[in-house]
Amino acid sequence: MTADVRMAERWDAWSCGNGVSRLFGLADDLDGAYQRLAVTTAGLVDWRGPAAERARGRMQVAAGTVSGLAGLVRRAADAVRVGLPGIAEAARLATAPAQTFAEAADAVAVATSVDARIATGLATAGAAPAPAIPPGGATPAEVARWWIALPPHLRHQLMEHQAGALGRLVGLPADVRDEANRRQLTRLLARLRAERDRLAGSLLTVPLQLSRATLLKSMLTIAESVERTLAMLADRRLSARLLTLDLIDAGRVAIGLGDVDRAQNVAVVVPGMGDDAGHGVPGTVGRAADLLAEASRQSVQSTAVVAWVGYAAPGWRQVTFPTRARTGGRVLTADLAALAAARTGEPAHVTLVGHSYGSTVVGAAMQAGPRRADDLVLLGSPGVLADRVGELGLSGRHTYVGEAALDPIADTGVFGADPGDRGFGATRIRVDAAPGRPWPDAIIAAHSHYFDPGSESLRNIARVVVGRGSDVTRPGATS
Amino acid sequence: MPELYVEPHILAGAGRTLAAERSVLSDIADALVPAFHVIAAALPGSRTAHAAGHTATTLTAAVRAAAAELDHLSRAVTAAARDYQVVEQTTAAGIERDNRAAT
Repeated sequence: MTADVRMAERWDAWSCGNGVSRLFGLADDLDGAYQRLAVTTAGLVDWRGPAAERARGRMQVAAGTVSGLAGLVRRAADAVRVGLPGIAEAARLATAPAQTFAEAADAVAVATSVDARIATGLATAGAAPAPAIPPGGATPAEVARWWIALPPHLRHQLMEHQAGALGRLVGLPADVRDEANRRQLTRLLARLRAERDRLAGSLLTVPLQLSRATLLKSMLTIAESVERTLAMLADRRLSARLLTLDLIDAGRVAIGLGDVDRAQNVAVVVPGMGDDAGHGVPGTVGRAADLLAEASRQSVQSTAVVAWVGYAAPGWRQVTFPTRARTGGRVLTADLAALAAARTGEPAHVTLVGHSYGSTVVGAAMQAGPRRADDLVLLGSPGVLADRVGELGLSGRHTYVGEAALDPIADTGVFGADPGDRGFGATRIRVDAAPGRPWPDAIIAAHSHYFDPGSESLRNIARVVVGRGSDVTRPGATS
Repeated sequence: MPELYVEPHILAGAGRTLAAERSVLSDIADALVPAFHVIAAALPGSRTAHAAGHTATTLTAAVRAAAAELDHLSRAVTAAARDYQVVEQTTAAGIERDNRAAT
């Protein structure tokens, strides 16, 4: 069956979305029935005897069937949900006035394509079993759709037995990644501490033991830093989600503050030199928390901030090379795609906030793939691997640069042109003078005070994050 | 002889839950076709509308089958609870009679 223009004219994406919402609601009802059946079956644990075994077995199967049905209904709903923008587009093209022949052909092509895609998705939703955990190469969108369709009893099983694998999947909702990564953190801490104690009791003379001890120390440093940071956030009653936890090599950690899956604005703070997963988590999370607090003062819109300690931040020896920025940029791009895929509502307004070498990572990310951010804030930047703002895929009105007067890094232009130069084309924002300190602390302070609470610099970053970039104050202006 | 342990009131509660969930599933089965119909009606003439009708039929049948299984289980568990209660009451009454006869 091929769609024609008159047919697509009568398509109604809004009503279709209404039907989708009803299906998701029925899937939730099936989830609830499954949960109650599972609890009831578990409550019969003391009932013993041949009849008990048979009845419990059948009840477990029945609960699993209900859970599976929840997955099938949700998969059917999702098959239509992902096609809603296409339906709206097909209807818009079909109803456009005074069409040329080519435009009419385009409308038919769009309608036919979206219709075929949804129909195929619906047909498989009614029958196919839930697929196994996606392979490593699955895209965030594929992972997101797999999770949506996964029956609740299988979700529960995976969380219980494969939390590590689950936490590594990109595209899952933030709450799921958080639960999986926290379970994994608890497990890893227990294992690593036990091994540390075991090694402490032996003489570290064998080279293999020494290298194991070094690796262990590095992994424990990251894990304990994350543990302390999460405890600090809990003490401050800040809603935090452990989005990424990887202890291998330099490690990777990302902690989301606020509801990253639903917030209207999402900012990602990317730290610079020395702030790798072993050393940069508490500081980056602290800056993210200060930014979130300021954003909530600047706008009533919902905002979430991700402290992204997700790349091998360089030390002194590597900081003059762009290699780590390029690698980090690719990883950041993938993580941004994962955040976008996990959202079921409107896309967020996304701002990348890069400090120092972190701004170089941001520059690399913007050139590494499809555009994933709406605004950029580059602070104390040694360059973004570009000579003009256009190379980042955004205009100067969406690329903001903060440079403190005495910041020794900001004017170096090590990685491309100095983003603060007029010729680069970005918008300069006002940042406060560094707090008065004696030499050489004044230099360090000038490069590291951009996120100070109550500062004009933090206010300006927050204005960009909440979509009020036009309200930033410029250098020389009074706040 | 296999070990036997049962608390009839918990079993009776489980029977009630199974019956309640059977009712929930029946309601869901009733609501599936109208929900799919909303989608089909919003996309007249499309393959999606056709597939929605087919999927609605398949899923509704599957939910009704699950509801039927819960119905069987509910009846069986409720009957078992009742039988165990009868056994318990009969045994208790027998022991009471024996006690009276002995005194």
